[in-house]
Amino acid sequence: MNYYIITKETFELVDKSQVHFMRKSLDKTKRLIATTEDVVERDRKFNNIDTCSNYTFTNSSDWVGDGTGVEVEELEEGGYIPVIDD
Amino acid sequence: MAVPSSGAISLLKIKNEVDEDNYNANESYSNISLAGLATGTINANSESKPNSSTPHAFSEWYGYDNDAASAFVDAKAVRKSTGQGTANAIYLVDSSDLLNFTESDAFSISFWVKAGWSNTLNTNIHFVIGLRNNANSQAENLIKIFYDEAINRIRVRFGNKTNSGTAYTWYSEAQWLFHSNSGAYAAGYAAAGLGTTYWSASNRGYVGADDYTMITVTKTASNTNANSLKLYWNANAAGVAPLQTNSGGNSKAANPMSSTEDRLWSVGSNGKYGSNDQKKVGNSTATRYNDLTMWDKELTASEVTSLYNSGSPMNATTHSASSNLEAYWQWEGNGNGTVGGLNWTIAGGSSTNTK
Repeated sequence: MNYYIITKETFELVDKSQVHFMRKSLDKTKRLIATTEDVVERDRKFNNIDTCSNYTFTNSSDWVGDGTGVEVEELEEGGYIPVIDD
Repeated sequence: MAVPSSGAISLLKIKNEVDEDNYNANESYSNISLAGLATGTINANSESKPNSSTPHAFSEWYGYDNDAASAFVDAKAVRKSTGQGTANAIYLVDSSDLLNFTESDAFSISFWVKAGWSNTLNTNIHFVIGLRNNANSQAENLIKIFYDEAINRIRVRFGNKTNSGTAYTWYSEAQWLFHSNSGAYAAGYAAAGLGTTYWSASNRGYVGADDYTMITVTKTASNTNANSLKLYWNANAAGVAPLQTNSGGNSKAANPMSSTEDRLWSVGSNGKYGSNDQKKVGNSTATRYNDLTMWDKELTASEVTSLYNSGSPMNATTHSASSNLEAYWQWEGNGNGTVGGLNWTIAGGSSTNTK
């Protein structure tokens, strides 16, 4: 699994069927995704699920409205559904 | 049987009411007096009761009922602080095995919630969660009911993890979303009344009294997958979830949920997520929870409708399925169990308060 932060525009171009998890940034301009696709156009790539989760805790104000972050187990839980969750 | 409310009454029979809860019990006593009875133990729940002051009169005993139940009061709820961590949590440890529901059990969990989160929560808010006490992972003996604000879904998950790796981990999860009025999602859309806007303090959808919504999750014992779960929003059936996941099925039989390991239950926070205990609490204003009931049966639609009571919490001990009521908390000034004998710790900024 690959973990990225990409723009809203790039997200429109990725293969949604490979996306396992997606979370919009609070300002709705970015997408944090877990996907099996290799995405070239990205703002940030994480080495693993832990660094991805840690980043959201460190940058909580961009991602999570209660001051926490996206937990590893949340990333593992996935649940993204194309169109419905877009 | 209470003391008659008029006419001639007997000192001996008053004593029978006081000792036997039965005015006509016909037990024999000696050395009894009005003064002795009136200054003894009196049930304060009885609307009619003698005072302990002289002079003592027979008429003071008219209508006295020694086993009168306390009147049902629903004035308070529990307020989950937006503060994170155990220091602000609402939790209990069940060492009695009372609430050790497993994937093979039928059960129902129902509670009232008044949304306090904003539409920028962008994460989960955990309503009710039980997991193995002192677990290393949230996944151990897990039952959780949570709202995923980022995608507007109520998600209910149960499962177990006994070791690292897929051979030891499994879960089933049902998800209901509320903003799509099409296909399999239409039932959730119709049940919640949120429209196309996500659930939050500014859009509570269909509510009962005081802006509370009764959420009920039921599980049948007939199977152990996500389709064993049903959701009710107030008395509105959202049915079996349109989105279901059954992961790690091969490990389920080898790693069933334990019916004997103690559980940590939490209201309004996540119990555990890795090393992050009792987080995911919401934002904006505190979310409030009212009467929480747990049942050892799958409540039927009509039983849920009865429990909803047209929008006002009822005395669940009088519900038609009360013989299956395992635990009941009213939050009337504390976290003590009305049924079940399990008491919540309500820590830090969390408190019982007006609804």
